[in-house]
Amino acid sequence: MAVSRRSARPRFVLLILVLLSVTLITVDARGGVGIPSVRGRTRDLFAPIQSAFASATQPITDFFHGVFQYSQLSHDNARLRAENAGLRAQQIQAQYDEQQIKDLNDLLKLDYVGDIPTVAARVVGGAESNFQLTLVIDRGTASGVLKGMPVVAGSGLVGRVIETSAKQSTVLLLTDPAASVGVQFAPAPTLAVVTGQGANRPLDVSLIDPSADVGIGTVAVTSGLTGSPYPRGIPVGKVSSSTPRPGVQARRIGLDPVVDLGRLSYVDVLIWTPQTRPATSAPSGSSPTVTSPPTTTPHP
Amino acid sequence: MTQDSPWIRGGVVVVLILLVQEGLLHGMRIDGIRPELLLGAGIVAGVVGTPEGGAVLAFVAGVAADLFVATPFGLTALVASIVAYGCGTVQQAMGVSNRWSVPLLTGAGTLIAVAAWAALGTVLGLPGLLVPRLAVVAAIVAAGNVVVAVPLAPVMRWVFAGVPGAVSAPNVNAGRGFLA
Repeated sequence: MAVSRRSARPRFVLLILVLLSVTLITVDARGGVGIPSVRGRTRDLFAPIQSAFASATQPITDFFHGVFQYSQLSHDNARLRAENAGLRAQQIQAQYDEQQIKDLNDLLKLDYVGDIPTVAARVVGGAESNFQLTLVIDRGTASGVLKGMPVVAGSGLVGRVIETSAKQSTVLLLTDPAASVGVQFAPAPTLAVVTGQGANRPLDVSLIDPSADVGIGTVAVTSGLTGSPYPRGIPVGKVSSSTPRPGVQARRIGLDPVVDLGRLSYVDVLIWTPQTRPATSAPSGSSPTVTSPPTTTPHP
Repeated sequence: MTQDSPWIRGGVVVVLILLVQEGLLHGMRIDGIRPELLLGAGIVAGVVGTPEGGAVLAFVAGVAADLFVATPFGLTALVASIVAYGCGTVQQAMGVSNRWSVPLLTGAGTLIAVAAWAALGTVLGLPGLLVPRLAVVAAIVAAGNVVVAVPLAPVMRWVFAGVPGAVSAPNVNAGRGFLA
């Protein structure tokens, strides 16, 4: 009897632990009861420690990076100088185009991404899980960053905020399989959905009209349809491949992100959520009005 | 509960490993994959301690690990506690502890834990986990835990010192037959 009781106890402990784990998973799936808050506080607690370790080890990391990748850095430097010269010329054209887009959006009563206030943030960490493509930025709810806000770098989409604490936020990258974005291709307003396929893999384009004329190099921008977690007009990627799918009247379209997601140092968080979107869908026939910039959600 | 309680020693060890994982190794990546010290510590606890003690320590370590990720809270704790219990049971069934048993069981346990995490994550709705890349992730994390199992084993022996059923220091002669 005593032997039986002794052998049953470890299994009872394991059963209790399994039940506790399942309870935690269920509570988290239902929105948390304090779990997001505990996670946020823990991250804020560790943020200075991580920052201190990162500062201490950065010179060593940089040294080895410089030693082993000197020729690559020289090559990159020359390439970037050449690109920079070309971009200066394009910038002048882009400023003109931007103003035209803004004027058109005003006429159509659509919000323009350039009018949305942003919070600049530094990337302080990479993926915290081996199963999610995320990055950590040094801005959180204290700076007005909220869950769901889009994140951009330069002129392209990076992803959206999925976790926030007072001082830090976690951004789910476009390339994560859990990330999907409604896009439209120019010049024809062809709509589609773009889904991540993992690191260093092109984004997958689905739900696209098979007859749509989408060639290599075509740019996809966020569609900004009602309920979309992204405002309209943020460049997402360029079509890099378009091959027929065997047996069906559709094509397999691959999209390379506009932003190099593997080399981000700074990003901008758009202070925008679908709830803060201004009322742009005025009934047809109503008098045209100028769209006001989106307002920021009150800080909780 | 006295100051010598294995629970206090275990708590201190989990906090220290958490500091190493989220502080010192926060930016460390091998082929984009980060080490999972907390998972390794839980499994080592199961192997050199007792199955139930290891499962409890692995659960606490798993909850601590879950605090820093945006995946379902409690998933790592669930997988770690079951795998630590399983590895501890295998160690007890083997009966003998040699210098290889702890790293080997930790490596095997880590492989199983990573695969189980991905499978359960898929059941819970996380997309893109059961992909060929999973094998690379599991292999690199397991290799890392095989290495850290060596220094973690004496630490866990200290944690479980005096606990009935805990495995004592390895019999170094027991491994010679394995090598030959």
